[in-house]
Amino acid sequence: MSVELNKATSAPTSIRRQNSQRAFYRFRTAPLSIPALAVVMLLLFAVAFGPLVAPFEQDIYGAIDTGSRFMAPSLTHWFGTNDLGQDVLSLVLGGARITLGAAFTVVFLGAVIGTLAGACAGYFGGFVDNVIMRSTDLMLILPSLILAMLIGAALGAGLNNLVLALVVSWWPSYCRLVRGEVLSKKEELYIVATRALGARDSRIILKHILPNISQVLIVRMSTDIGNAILMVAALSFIGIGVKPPTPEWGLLLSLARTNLPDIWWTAAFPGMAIFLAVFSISIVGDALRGALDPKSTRF
Amino acid sequence: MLIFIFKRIVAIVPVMIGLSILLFVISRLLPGDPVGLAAGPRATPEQIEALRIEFGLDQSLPVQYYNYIVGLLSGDWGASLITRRPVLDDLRIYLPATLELVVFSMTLSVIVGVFLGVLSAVRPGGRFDIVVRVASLASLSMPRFLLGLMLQLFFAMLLAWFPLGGRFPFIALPPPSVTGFLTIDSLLAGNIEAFGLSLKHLALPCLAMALSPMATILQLTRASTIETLNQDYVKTARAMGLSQRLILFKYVLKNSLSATLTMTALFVGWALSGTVLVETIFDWPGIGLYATHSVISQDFMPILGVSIVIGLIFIFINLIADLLYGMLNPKVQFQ
Repeated sequence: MSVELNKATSAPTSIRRQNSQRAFYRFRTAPLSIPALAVVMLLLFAVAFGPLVAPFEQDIYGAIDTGSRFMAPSLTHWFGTNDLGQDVLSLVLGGARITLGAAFTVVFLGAVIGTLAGACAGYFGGFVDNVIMRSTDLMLILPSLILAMLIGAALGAGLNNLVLALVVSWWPSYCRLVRGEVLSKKEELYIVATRALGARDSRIILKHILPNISQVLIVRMSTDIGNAILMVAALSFIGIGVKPPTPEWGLLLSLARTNLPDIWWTAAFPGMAIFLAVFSISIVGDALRGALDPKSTRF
Repeated sequence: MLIFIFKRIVAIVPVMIGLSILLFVISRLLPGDPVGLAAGPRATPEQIEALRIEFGLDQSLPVQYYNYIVGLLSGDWGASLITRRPVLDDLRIYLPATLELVVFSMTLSVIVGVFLGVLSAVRPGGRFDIVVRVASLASLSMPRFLLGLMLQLFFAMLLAWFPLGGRFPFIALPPPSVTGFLTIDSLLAGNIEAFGLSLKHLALPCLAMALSPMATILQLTRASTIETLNQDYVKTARAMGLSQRLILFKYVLKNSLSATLTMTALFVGWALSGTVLVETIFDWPGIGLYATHSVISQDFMPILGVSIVIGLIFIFINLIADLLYGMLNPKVQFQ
């Protein structure tokens, strides 16, 4: 009797382990996923320790050395120097924290706000649903870049305002996603049973519904970070967002334009950083989607 | 059919009201003071107070909203702080340039995207398919401003095949304006030289704009073509010995295109926001460049005007997408 019971309880864990092994296999075999993961790790390292490993740390905070202007890439300055004599490698390393940090913050805040709003809309329905969904409709009337630009222009320049402007245009898509998921989950038997046991609404949403849609959310967020990086860089590029000397990648690229084509390195390396970040993150996100949700088709 | 079209057209009225509410809220309720924005950074408190009354900001919000709507409808979209020119007049000048860019780039991305998408669907997982898919993912990750800069660097600065920016040479005489599209205007005037010049100026910005929608259209077409290729009627056509080309471009494409076509209409909206970046890089005198310049000089009314225009076009395009979808898929009408 006890042996049979053991079998019954051990079965789910082994299935779970099998599932995670399968998911890891699917991730590993997705095209380019491992090199892309390596690049993502490198980027995360730069976010965490960028200023510490930068060869000329003071340049990140706006130090100027007119004696070493426009030096081509060399052993001392791997990525060369810019018009202010700042080391481009240091700027790119320091910028990782700003560009990627802003992008992560936008996606995280957008997802949290969108999830809460969407969960409330889907779970409670009726009037709450109407109010929340009509306000997402409002946000989706304008393309998100234009909306962010408008809000950014109204708020004024600055990294915080940039993030705020992007969060405002970011949450509606999460809200819609989560609402749809919650609508389909809330009629399921285990939720009905939990409600019958007398659980409060907040407990049902936070403990029972959200964990069950977390996979969809994680996948969406991982593919979304690339978009957020593009948006942050684009808004800085056109002059909304951060101001010099903050080494944001889009801003670095925009400042480097005036010295093209002779001084190519001041534009090439920040540009490459943006491209590599977005490309590798979207490949990892794609592989993650394939691994966690085998039913979805790749791209 | 007529009832369907009528219903869809009526349905955009609330969306328009929504747009006006959104813009009203952003311009009035954000922490940034609208009067401060309009008066500029160097205004004295007395000037600001005078402007506050002039703008009607001492009245209640519903009254302000009413005045705002009446202003919009009567053509009073405010004026630029820097040039003092009415925003609506500026937009009339800049909008055709943007539309020309959008029309050309969307045409390019649809033609190339659909063609490559169908070809890569023939053998999913084949060598051609993998190359095309990686290239399309790469072009989706490529920021438009970076792509624009690279095109400019190689084809304008190093090779000097195309001009660096602008819409038409300063020294040359543009054709008389009829449609506002320089390419069409120069053809209407029978001026082949001007036509060539305007095409040359259009090439690089157009390419920079077209690449990422092209990649998305490619992926959509590929997915729906693969689905269609698995249907029984394709097998029948194969069994009857029809050539691959005939099957693909006569029978499959028509069926797999309807989804792509409606999505394409939506891309026009995205393309519109992409113009902000591309126009800034290529100095293309459209509404995007206008908005960027206004942002830099903290000139709020022009940005608001550009948002209104883009919002209206976006709504209009969505309406067309809706109608197209209804025509291609009659089931939609009965819902």
